[in-house]
Formats: sequence, structure tokens, C-alpha cells
Amino acid sequence: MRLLKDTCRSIRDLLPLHVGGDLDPGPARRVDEHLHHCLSCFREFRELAAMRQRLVVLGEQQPPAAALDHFTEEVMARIALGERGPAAELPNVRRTRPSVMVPLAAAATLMVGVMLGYVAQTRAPGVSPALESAAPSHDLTVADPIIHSEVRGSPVGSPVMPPAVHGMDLRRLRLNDRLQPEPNRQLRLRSPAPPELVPTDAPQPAPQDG
Amino acid sequence: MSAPTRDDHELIRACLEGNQEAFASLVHRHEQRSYWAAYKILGDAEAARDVAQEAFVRVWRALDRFDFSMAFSTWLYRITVNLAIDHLRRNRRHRGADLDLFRESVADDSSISPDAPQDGREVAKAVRAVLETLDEKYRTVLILRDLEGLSSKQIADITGIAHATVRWRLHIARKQFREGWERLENRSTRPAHRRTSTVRSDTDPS
Repeated sequence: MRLLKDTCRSIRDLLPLHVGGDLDPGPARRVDEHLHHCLSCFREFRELAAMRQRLVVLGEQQPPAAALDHFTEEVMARIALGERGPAAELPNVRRTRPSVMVPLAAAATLMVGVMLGYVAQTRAPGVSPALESAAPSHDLTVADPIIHSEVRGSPVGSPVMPPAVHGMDLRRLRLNDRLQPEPNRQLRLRSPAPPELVPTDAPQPAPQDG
Repeated sequence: MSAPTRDDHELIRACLEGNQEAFASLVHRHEQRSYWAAYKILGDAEAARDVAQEAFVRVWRALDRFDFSMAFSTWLYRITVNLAIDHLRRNRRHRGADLDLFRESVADDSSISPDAPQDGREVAKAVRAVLETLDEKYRTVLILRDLEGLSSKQIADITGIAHATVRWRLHIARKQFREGWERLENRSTRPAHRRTSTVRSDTDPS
């Protein structure tokens, strides 16, 4: 009895493949022989066959009438687009463009703001007039008539920022206090600068030996 | 080789000489089969159309590598099926969600119960709902074998998995499909009794 139960168990494990004819000839013959005298396993086999038949129904369904309307034309259009680049990647390019361009635009705007802030700092009180004469081309307050108009009414020598660049209020981008020129500190500029960049009231550097 | 295949090859040669109209003819000739192959795997008309079109675009790009010893339809079919499987992997749905929705609609509509007389469309809807609950790897082999009629060896060739793995997945897929169908059946016709337990992929169903 136990042997029969074990046989049924092993046979039923093969039924899902046998129902589709996916067993090798040897095991398939063994299953067929068992099904001939085991009604329980035969019922199991019949149920599985009915399940498989239901899948076939799915394959008999007709596609929607408009499923293939203009199919060929659209394929040819995609190919025409693909001649300028992989067609499949076009949507991705569109998707990634904003994520790349937005930080770039923000970084460019920030750089412009920092540069303008730097120029404005060089006009801060306490800076030697030699600084202004040394780099006139950097002085946007003179070069730019819009900015220049803002200078009117401002205290002489105070930092002047343009009201907006690319829609961003650069007054908010002013360099913080750490970058304000201090009376006793030598200005350190990263860009090439004339050697006279020394605050007028700063002590003269002591001559170094050696 | 049959006449249509020979014609396909002539069209491909024309395409390779720069004739896009020849490719349009090729697309028109095979669009239905490609669309259908994708639709059976995906069960979504829009996605199937997109995948089928993408298959033709891939074919166009790789046309100069076409092996003239094989049928164009086989090549296209393989590309389509693989794209559809990739699409399935990228867009894995929450398993069970579709079946739950379908059960709710079944509960409201007694005509869609598995035991009631049904037309093909209703059965297909139920079958699709059950298929959606299967893991993508099992669903794929089941569809390719039982809907498309491919042999397990052909499935192994197309999907690039071992023949033994295909058969094992097919074994699991049929058991899981049956289990899913019975769950649907219990919900719609026999809610109070004959609950079946979940068939695990590593257990004996008996």
C-alpha cells in the first residue's frame, strides 16, 4: 500500500510535464502505464489537461481590430528617427536631459554670481585705488550700463550687485562676511591680480631674509 | 525553404541595398505574428505594440548581420520574445493584485465564474488574470510552451536558459497555474469550502 502511495506521488510529480508531452520517452511510458490502472492519478491528469486547455483559449482570442493600425508607418518613422541615433534611446535622452541641464544651469548662474560678487568685493572700502586702475575690465559697474545705473545713489565704494542675472536675485548671492576684506588682512585672489592688491591700511610685510 | 521565406530573403537583400520600401513590406508581412507573440506574453495591447515595433527597429539595425541560412520569421520571433521578456522583467507587477481585482469583478458578475458557461473572451480574461499572478520566469515558459507551442528545447534556445531549467520551470508553472485557477474558482463559486493551499514551487502537489 505504501509502495503504491509512493508510486502515485512520484507519478503525480511528473504529470505537469506529461500533460504537455514534455517528458522523455522512458518516464512518459512509466506514467502512461500507471494511469491505466490508477483512477486517482488519472483524474489528476485529466484536471491538468483541462487546465492546459484553458491556456489554449487565450491563444485563440483575436487581437483588437485597431491593434495594428498604422503599425508599419510607425515602425518606419521610428527607423527614420533612429538614423540620427538609436531610436530606443530617444525617450531616455528626453528623460535625462532635465536632470543634467538643471544642475548645469544652476552651477553656471552661481559662478556668474560669485564672479560678480568678487568684482563687487574689490570695490569695497579700504581697497587701494590701485586695484581699480589695475583691472578696469573687471569692473562691471562701469562696463555694464545696467549695473552702472544702479551705482547712482549708492555710497561710493560700496559693493554693488546687479539686480538679477538670469532671473536670479544676485543680491542674495553676496559673499558672506568671511570674504569681506578686513583692514588688517591681505587680500588673496585666486585669479591673476596685480601685485598692488594690498589694503591701504594694512601693515607693510616685513622683509624676509634668505 | 518555403516560398515566403525566399521572398523574405529577397526583401532583406533589397533592404541591404538601401531600399526602405522593401523593409516596409517585410514589416507589413510579419507585423501580426510579432505583435501576437508579444501580446501573448505581455497581455497588454499597447505594450505589445510597442515591443513589436521595437523588435522591427532592432531587426533593421542588425539586418547586415542576418544569417540567410535561417528563416526571417524565426529571427524576428526570437527578438520579439526576448524584448517582451525584458519588458516583463522591467515592469513586474505586484503579484496577486490583478487576480484580486479580477476576483472582485467575478464576485459581482456570476457569468464569469469558471464553472458557468462562458464565451472565449471571458475564459481568456480569467486565464490572463491567473497568468498575471505567476512569476515572470514561470509565466514566460508556460506561454511559450502552451500558447505558442514551442518545444522546451526551442524555449531554451530563445531564452538562453538550460533545457532542464525550462522543463523545471514548466513543471512549476503548470502547478501554479492550476493552483491559481482553483483559487479563482473557490472565490467565485465555492467561497465557504474547498479552500486549497498555496502550491509551493518546491513541494509535492499530492
